Amino acid sequence: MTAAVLQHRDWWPDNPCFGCGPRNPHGLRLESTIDDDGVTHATWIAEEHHQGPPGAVNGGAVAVPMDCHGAWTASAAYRARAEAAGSSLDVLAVTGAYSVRLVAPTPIGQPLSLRGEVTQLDGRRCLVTVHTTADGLVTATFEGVFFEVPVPRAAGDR
Amino acid sequence: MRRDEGDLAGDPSTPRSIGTSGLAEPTREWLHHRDCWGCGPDNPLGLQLEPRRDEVDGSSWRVTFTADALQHGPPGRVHGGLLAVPMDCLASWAAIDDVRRRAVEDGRDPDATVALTGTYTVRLAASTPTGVPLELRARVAERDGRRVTVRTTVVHDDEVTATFDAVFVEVASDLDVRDRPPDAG
Repeated sequence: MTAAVLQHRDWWPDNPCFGCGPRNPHGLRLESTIDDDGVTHATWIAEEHHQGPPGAVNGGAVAVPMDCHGAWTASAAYRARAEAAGSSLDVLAVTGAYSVRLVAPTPIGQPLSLRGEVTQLDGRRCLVTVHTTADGLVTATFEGVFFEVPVPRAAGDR
Repeated sequence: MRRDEGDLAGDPSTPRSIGTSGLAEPTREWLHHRDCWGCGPDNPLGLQLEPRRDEVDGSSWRVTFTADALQHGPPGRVHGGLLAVPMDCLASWAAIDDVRRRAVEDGRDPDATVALTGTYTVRLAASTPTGVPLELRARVAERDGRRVTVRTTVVHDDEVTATFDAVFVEVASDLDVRDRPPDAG
């Protein structure tokens, strides 16, 4: 497997996404990768302005990278399935719903690891879990339902 | 930009007593940290939300939020994760307001108590557009000991585009969250 970034940097350099858009000056500019076991990984560092309670990431903000990374985790599964079927379409994932559990404060100013896994792929629907970890401690868990959106490959004008 | 006490406590249209308790409601300048990403008036990169208690029912909370072009997920739509930020923030105001008012009713110090987000579920029922005002409303749905359940909706063009169901946990306001997390169960 490759460590290539999952975010379709090749044909979508102008992706405006707040979570992963490479040119969004206010965004998190996430880059997700997938390992040989199909587990996805990304890291980010929350900044002062992402604060909720003093010293901790805003409870809503914790969802931002987990949702985005979860979407690319689902997208990777869709893409693998499409390639196996010889499809000429590429695929994106859009969020349907998600649940977040804040199990410990997520700290500001230190690397946070995101780990994503597909738990079920069923037609257009993909269930994904994402964990946020700080210094070895899981601080938040995310379970998301995503839906497949096929797009033409090399849709450079999106 | 600094909001003074008059924004909330002194607003003549805000009811000063609630329900049948007859007690003056707890007043405070700002229910969140002033650097909060959602509502912090001192956070220049924040959403600068200005939550308001509903003037008619006296207990739900409302805010208007317009997502900008840098807050996209799919092109033209608000980022599905980012949408949690204003919903969580507004819901948190409703939860904190609720625990503070109960403290007053119980003869406790409202400043000694606060509520933290424990868990939440977001459902994106329809696409939520950027660049237009979105009406958010949060209402306490249930109380169970230290837990406060709040439902928040996002409405655009009379359509609910997203819902946020959250459980907040009441904790002492001097708790350092870095030492002890909430436990929503």
